[in-house]
Amino acid sequence: MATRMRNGLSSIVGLVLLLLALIVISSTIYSILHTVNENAYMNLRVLDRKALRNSVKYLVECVYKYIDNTAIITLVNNLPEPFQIVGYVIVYNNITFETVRLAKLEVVPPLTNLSLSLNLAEEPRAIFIVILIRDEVTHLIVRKSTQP
Amino acid sequence: MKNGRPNIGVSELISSLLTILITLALGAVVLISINNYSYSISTLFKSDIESRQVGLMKSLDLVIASASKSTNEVRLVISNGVVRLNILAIYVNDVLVEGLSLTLEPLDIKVVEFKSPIKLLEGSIFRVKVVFDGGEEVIYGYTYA
Repeated sequence: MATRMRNGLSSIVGLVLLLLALIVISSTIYSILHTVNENAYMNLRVLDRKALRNSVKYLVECVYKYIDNTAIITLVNNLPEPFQIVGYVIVYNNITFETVRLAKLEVVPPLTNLSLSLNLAEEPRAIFIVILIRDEVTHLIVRKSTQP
Repeated sequence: MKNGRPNIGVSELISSLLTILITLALGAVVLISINNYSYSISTLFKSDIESRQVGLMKSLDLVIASASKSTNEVRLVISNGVVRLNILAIYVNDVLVEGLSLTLEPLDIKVVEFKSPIKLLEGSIFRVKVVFDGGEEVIYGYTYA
């Protein structure tokens, strides 16, 4: 023992020190990697949000027909996930806006076609449907039907 | 006395103990400083991530914007997501609209009317930027007569 101590630290002390260093280094690396991973996940969610809004615009098609002070909206849904219609925004010819809030109207797949009717004072210039999908609010542009 | 030199100094046991203690102390200082440094960096990152998470919970959509040339007023339709949010500032073509701040309740659809800080010409397209406590949104509008 005396000979070994003369040469330096005992092997047990050396091992303990090495173990401590390893624990600290590995925990530091773990915490850095965890933070980087969370950061990457956040970036992904931001990208996902933009992609979601784009996919709503491409996968849901809305047209309306105006008959006797009523706008009949046909919604063709190709989205694979449910969304909620929050309300409408109607633009009249004198560029005044009317907003209509809906209580709760869920559109759940595999429902692909939905017909909605809206009583209006006059023929609108444009109609928008405000929807909520995955806590993300966005809108759909309702086009005037070209079919008679 | 050995080889004519005085036999002074600490024993081998004490010198070994001193070496161990000094090594441990130095090691502890290094480990604590590394830990503190990594903790401060990770706290900074975490606070940034938390603020972004709060921002992601908030969602604002600008539906339509239009302006009237005669009154120089801008009308903006905005809709809110599931979390209450505050609108901090509105800009028209990057010029701040003074004295405008409002709060939107969950699932609110609101028509906001305000005087444009710049003169809008008939047929021109303008840019509206809305800054809220979860980010910012931009929409382009058209000026009517």
